[in-house]
Amino acid sequence: MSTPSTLGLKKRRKHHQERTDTIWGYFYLSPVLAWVALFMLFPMLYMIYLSFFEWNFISPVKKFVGLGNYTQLFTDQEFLESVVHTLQFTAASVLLTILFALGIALALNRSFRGVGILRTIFYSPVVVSMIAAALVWNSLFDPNFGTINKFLQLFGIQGPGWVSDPDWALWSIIIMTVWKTMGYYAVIYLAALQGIPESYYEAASLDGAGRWRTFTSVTWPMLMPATLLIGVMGVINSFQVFAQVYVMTQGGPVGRTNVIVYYLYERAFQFFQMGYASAIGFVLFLIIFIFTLLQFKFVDRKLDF
Amino acid sequence: MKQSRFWSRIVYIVVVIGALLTLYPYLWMLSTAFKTQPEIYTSTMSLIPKHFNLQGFALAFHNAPVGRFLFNSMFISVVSTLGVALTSITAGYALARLHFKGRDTIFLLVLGTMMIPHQATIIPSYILLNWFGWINEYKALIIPQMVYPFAIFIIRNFLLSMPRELEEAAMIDGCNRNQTLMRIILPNILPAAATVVIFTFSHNWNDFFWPLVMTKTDEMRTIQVGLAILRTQFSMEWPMLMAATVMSSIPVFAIYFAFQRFFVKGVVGSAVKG
Repeated sequence: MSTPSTLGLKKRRKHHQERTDTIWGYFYLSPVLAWVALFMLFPMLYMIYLSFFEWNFISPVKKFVGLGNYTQLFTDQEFLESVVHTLQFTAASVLLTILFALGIALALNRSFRGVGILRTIFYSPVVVSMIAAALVWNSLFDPNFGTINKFLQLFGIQGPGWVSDPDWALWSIIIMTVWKTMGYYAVIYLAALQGIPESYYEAASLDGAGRWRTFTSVTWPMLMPATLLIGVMGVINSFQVFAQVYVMTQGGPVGRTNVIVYYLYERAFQFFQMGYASAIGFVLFLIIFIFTLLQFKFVDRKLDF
Repeated sequence: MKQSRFWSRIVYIVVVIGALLTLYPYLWMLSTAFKTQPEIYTSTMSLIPKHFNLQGFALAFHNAPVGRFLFNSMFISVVSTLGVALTSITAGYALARLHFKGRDTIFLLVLGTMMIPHQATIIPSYILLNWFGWINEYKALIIPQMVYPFAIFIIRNFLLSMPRELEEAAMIDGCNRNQTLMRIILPNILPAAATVVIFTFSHNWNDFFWPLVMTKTDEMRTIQVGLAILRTQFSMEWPMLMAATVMSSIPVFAIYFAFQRFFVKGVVGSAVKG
């Protein structure tokens, strides 16, 4: 029980604490706030503004075109194709990545000799840069001298031209991306697997469930939150695919690997259509924004603000 | 029981083959870097160079200022990482421990910036840095990278899971916020700070899109951009290209093998805990 006088003292001290906290708090956060305003909020707003104009970056005047850039997007064959390619890339790479990441996690979720080394190996492609990975895979995919086609030759198969074959170029990029990212998601799956209580498996085994049955009725449902999270993260990253395309195919052959960010880059920094490219940027932002909201929804349960 | 051991063996074999396949591109990169150009045209899939030599490395330095690229990458990565360490520890501390109006709004704002992909906003960012006169200067590659929301997140979460007693004792003993941060918090968040440093360094070292757009001349290019340029200029010279790729990967691999557990912690911390 506090007497009135100590209560007042406590209150005063608390009040004083809050005031100094406010000063320190804003002091500590000032670089972050400046950064958010300058490099996040401003670009966001300026991008929206620019998307209503036609501007070649050099000219002193920007020509207002209203929603013209946006309506043009819907009739721009190249843009629509880039959206289709991005969707194809996203669907294939996310599904394959989930499949491989899950397989790796299930196989490594126990202790046996060498498990540490295996984990190190499977995670290692995450560490190297996308550019380095793309260059290495470029050489593996070389139609005449690359390992992949030489390997296929052993079985009498004439391999395709991979990055130079219109039908295989996007697949080349997908295969390389799955190799590069599966280890990252395998780590998330591993953490989720370790969160499944042992008693669930014991119950399943008491009920006489076999391996497959245990997987479909215990493991897979328990992994659902992780799978959703991985799916959404994968979609967000896939929509931003650029470096692989830049190094491996430059959007070709015949535009078959032209993706949204590559198209934006071309419009902005090769053709200097700043307004039009800003409209593409805003559309890309909206797509990613929706998926990020979904991601926060999934993560929310485990977050405490 | 017997059957389950049989399946364990099968899984084991499949996993080892998968690991070897995952490893293969690195082995290929390494072996090609030490091969001669003619061997590329003649050899089979052999991973052992017939005439082991350093010609590829010499050519890489001859064809492009690879040394300069590596220096640029190292310089901007180290400076940005130091900046991120400072801004994320102070910001994470403020967001986790201090009580003031607007704190939660600011946290949501920082979270919100993670929704803005820099690929989308590259045009206005470029225009802004152009106004500042920073294009093709270190400033363009360092200052926008000095704050990393992901790092703030890691520090804040780590602090939230840490007991407050020590700090409260320090405050009662008359330490102000800054003294508490320096003397009590800093020594206790080293694991989280290490995760931040490692992730930020790798992130900056491996970044491509931003330096590609913000630099114009060879002497300002980072190693990632340099590699991409080399690739477009010398499309078939695989020993030289792989030699450059090997050099570009050494720092991140060295860090990975030295601090592996922090990598895994960072992934799990960011994804599962939020």
